[in-house]
Amino acid sequence: MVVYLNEPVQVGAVFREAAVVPRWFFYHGRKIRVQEVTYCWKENIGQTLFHHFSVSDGVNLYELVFQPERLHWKLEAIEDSAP
Amino acid sequence: MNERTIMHLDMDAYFAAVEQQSNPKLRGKPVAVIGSGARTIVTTSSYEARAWGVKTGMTVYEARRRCPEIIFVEGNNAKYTDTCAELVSVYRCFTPLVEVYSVDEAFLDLTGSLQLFGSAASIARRIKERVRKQFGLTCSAGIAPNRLLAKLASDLHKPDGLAEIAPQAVPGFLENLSVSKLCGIGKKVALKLACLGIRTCVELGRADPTLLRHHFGIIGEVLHRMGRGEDESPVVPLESAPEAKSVGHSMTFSTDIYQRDLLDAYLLQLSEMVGRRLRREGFRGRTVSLTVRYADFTSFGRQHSLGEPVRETLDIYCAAQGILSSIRLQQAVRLLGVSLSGLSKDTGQIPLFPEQQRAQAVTRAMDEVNNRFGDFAVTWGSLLKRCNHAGVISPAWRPEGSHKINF
Repeated sequence: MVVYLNEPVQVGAVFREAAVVPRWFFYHGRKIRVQEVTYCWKENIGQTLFHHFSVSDGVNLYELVFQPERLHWKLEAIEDSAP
Repeated sequence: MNERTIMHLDMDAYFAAVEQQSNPKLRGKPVAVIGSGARTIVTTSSYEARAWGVKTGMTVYEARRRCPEIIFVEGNNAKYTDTCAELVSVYRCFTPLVEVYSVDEAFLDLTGSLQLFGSAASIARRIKERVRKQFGLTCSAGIAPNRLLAKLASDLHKPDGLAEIAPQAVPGFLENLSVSKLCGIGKKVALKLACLGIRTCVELGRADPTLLRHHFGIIGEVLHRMGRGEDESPVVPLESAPEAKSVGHSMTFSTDIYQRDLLDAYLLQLSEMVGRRLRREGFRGRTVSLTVRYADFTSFGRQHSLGEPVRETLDIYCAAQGILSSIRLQQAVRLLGVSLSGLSKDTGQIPLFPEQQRAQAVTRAMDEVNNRFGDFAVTWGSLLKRCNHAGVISPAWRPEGSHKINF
């Protein structure tokens, strides 16, 4: 089931070769380590660019959104492993 | 014309493959990508779902009946269109002549690239490898002396296929190929050809061109050449693509609508979408067209040509509303569409009268805010309850230019 959150989160990311790769983030005080960035894509809303990342911690799937203009990260949604 | 080398690249089960790559739990499972509306249909299905008979265009109910295990995923147009733009960047590493045919298909003219990169097959393998590594997706490549045959070739070994039709192999390849396999020959034309005793490409190529011209008009000659595997149409890169001839939007409602005031509100929304694109691209249009589809899927269109070309939302809306009010609706409306044709470049004529100047200033101010913060950030009060569905990616969508629409 997908739960839409749209919550600001603290993210640890590596910037390399003109790409940004999220490595971990805190959610409800828990550090979640990113095991796989499964997909990333960009979206423009007006003049604002958003980088979307589908990431997995090996159990659940998360969607993180990075807004480079404001250096701001959000946890957009969680798809938990429950059937 | 000199011998050309054309490649057609077709992403395999594109939307479904992107979703399977995004979500590891979907990999290897029957997946169907659907729209967000209440009356949505399957837009793409994974190969696992296709094995159960699930096809594009099927209702959700029918897809589930065929494949009870199917997983429905709501499509994400921004994800697919951005991936398409990134794929084009990969293709452009090998040739500047890239024509985006649709969001999941492209033609590449490799004629001038062979000396730099080796054979067309090795370029195809390199592209396929980069697409797999960068996006986790597969594509099928077809290589041939022209677009018609390249598209046929890409379909030969799907998914993840690579097929080449060498010039000397063309006659043998077309020998028993059904005419319906040729891109551009739909069911109606194939049926009409069958009535003339033409079922295979060879039969089409050997048919009397006069006979074909008699039955199909000017298209008859094109069909004759297609039957012989001839197609001289060039690969037209995005920057050389012709300007749009019309700008239009349509929307299918979640429930059929009778109420005029509601239809008027949607008409204003569609007019704003059309007007915004016109103004962004610097066009004006003279002919406003309205498309209506009833609940029983019967559709019709009406159009009205204006005295002078317009680009303001309210001008488009008034014309479209004028058409709608002249129609006595027989049923509830399922789909409404507004488009503007007869386009000309906006010369930037400054309005002479204060009322028009004020209207233009308001539009400009709204456009500036919406350009900065996104469509409908500022809009009319009657559009506060507007239709928010994402819509579908039109076949005419392109990652650049006037055919680009942000999702």
